[in-house]
Amino acid sequence: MNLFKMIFLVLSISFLYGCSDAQEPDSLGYVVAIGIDKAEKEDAKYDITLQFANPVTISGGASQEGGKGGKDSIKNITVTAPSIYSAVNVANHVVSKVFTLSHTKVVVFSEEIAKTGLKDILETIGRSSDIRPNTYFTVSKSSAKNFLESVNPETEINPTRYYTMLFENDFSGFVPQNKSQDFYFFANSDEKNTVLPLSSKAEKKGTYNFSDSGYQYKLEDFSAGEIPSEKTEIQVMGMAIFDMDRYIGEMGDIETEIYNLLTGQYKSSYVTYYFSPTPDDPITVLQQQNKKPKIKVDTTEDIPKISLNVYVEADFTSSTPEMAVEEHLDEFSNEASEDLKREIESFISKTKDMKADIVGFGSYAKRNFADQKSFEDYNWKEKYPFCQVDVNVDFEVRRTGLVVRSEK
Amino acid sequence: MNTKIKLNQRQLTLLMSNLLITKMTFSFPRFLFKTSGNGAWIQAIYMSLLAYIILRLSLSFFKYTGNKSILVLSESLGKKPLKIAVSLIIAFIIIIHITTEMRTFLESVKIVLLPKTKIEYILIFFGSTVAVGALCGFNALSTINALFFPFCLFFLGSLVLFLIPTYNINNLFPVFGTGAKNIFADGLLDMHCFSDLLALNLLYPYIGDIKTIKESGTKAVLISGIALTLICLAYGLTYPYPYSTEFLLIPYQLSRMVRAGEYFQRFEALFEFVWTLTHLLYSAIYVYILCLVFQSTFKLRSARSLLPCLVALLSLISFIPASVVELLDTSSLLKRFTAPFALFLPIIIPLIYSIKHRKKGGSP
Repeated sequence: MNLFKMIFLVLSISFLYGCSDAQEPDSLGYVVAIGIDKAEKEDAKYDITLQFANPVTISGGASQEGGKGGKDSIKNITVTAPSIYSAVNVANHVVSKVFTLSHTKVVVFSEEIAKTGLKDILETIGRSSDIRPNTYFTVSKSSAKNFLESVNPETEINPTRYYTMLFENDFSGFVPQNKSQDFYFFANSDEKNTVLPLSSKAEKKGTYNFSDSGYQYKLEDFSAGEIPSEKTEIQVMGMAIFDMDRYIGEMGDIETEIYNLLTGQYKSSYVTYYFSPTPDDPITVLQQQNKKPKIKVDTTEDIPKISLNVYVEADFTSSTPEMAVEEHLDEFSNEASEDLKREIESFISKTKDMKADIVGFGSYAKRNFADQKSFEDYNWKEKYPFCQVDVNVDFEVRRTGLVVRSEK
Repeated sequence: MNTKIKLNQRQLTLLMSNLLITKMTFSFPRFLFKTSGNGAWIQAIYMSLLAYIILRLSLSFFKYTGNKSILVLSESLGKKPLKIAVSLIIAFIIIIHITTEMRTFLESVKIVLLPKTKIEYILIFFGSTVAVGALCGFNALSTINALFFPFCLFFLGSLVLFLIPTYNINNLFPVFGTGAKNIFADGLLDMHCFSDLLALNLLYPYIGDIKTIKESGTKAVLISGIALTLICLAYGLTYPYPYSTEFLLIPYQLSRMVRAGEYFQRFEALFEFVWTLTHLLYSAIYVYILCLVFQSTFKLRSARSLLPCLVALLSLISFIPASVVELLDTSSLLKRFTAPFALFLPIIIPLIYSIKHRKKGGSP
């Protein structure tokens, strides 16, 4: 027995000194973003750009100053390949690192690729244990390569943190909160259409053409790349609408904010409202959604009836010096809720025109059916463009900031 | 080997819970979602109720059979030939369960943890750990299991809680998933996940106290039923149909979805630890039980020397399916075929024994 124990011990020490799958962190190339464009060469499938972190710049290397952000913290390599992993394979032979996708934060699709469909790329992402389910997908109006090359994470040392802050923060109402997992689940669904954030290299082409009244008064419904900006870097706002896995249209930043409100993913943002007694001074509020919208769908008849209740709270952040709005809170709340209601109705009408139930009313319609087959037989997507929607907005001003102009 | 086994109620409860939960929560829910869609949680409750009824039925014969296992009872009923036939059926059932779980585990480890390591290499380490574990004896196994298995249950509970932000109640609708017929009729074919209840019967002779057996069995079914229902609910609430039918390792998929703040996201590292631990204990316990079956059938003084050969044999059998797809297809078919034997032998044999006993004029 002692001999057996000795042999077992020696064998264990010999074979268990390290795992055969172990990899040194400095031998890995951490891909933070992937860009997918249609290949320039005929017959080839994709031009895939891998953006990877430059750990020497991020950590500060041997310097005592610490890490630096900016363009130097990331590097890009573009290869032509038929899939993401074959691109990784090629890149492994070009850069002296073994690329891993376990820290990938963004996958950027060019508009052209999104229009042809993302099915095969979704297949890769679903099967991979490297790519995480909370990776962001985005459709770039400029080429994906161009977008990634324009990225300059000046404000962050860690490039993944830079993307996280861009796509997901408590004030990012202009970006749909839709991660890769949601896109993967609903890209082939009978119950709803899906969306992705729009992104672009800033093109300086925007002009201010805003509406004279309503929700987000004096603010234009910009899409990514359209905000006039001195910096020629990137912009992420608005959303790309999909029918199954194909891109069919886009919506601007204000419509995206409405989308977030209706899906209950909205957290907070600063919103300007028109107030009729002071038409030249928009009232800005910190708008929050502390209660998710209540949605009911009636499918008893052939035309579905949707009842939608949206709850919004607001705190004044700037008002007009012309009058004490605090004295007219009910008036302001009523006007604001009417404006928001009009904006929601116009948004829903646009989705009906596009035949795209992006809010996911179909998911609520499912509640009326006993089994999957009866829901499929109802053919929700065919019926959605004809649905009747009753919108109710509950808008409440809760706080007035540090100033209260009131006689009482 | 057998005379030294001593299990208290806690150890027996956790041991049976391990045998039921390991398979039930790690690889089995996929089959439930394939049968019932996102109505899988209803099927889980339904099956747990049926398992409870089956268990109570098998326990109801105690007054006639005492703590005799079906192996002992079959010998009383049909002498050696029946005992050998019953033990061969039991051995076949256990072999099917260990080998399929072993292979599923090894393949999943290869996919998730060690993509570049040869599967044979992983098998050698897994097999030798199981063999050493079984060689340490049943008391050591049940004590270690009683120590670590509560952590596994705690992990599953935490997983369900951490996932609350990802839950979408609409995913559970239509409430009957792919249909009530699928849940309540076709779902019976999935009862094989409770086949491990057979192990409780095989352990009867080694647990003197009948009350311990009754309470532990009931608690194990309750714990495993709750675990299965919770995992199905958590998965169904997170993954919409039909994508919920696609994934191989459901708790792994769920652990990848956990985001507790910006810095605590890689919950799967904890999953991998728990997953390895439960599978090692599961396999070692089953290998030991298989030895007990051989020992009891062939009246061996000690079956300890069988252990390394048995582990080697089981490892080889587990590698018969050529691919994961073949493994899933064959294992599902074989488990469905063996489930009626596993579930009803502990009822039928004691029932026949009780009738015979009463006809002879025996009192309870």
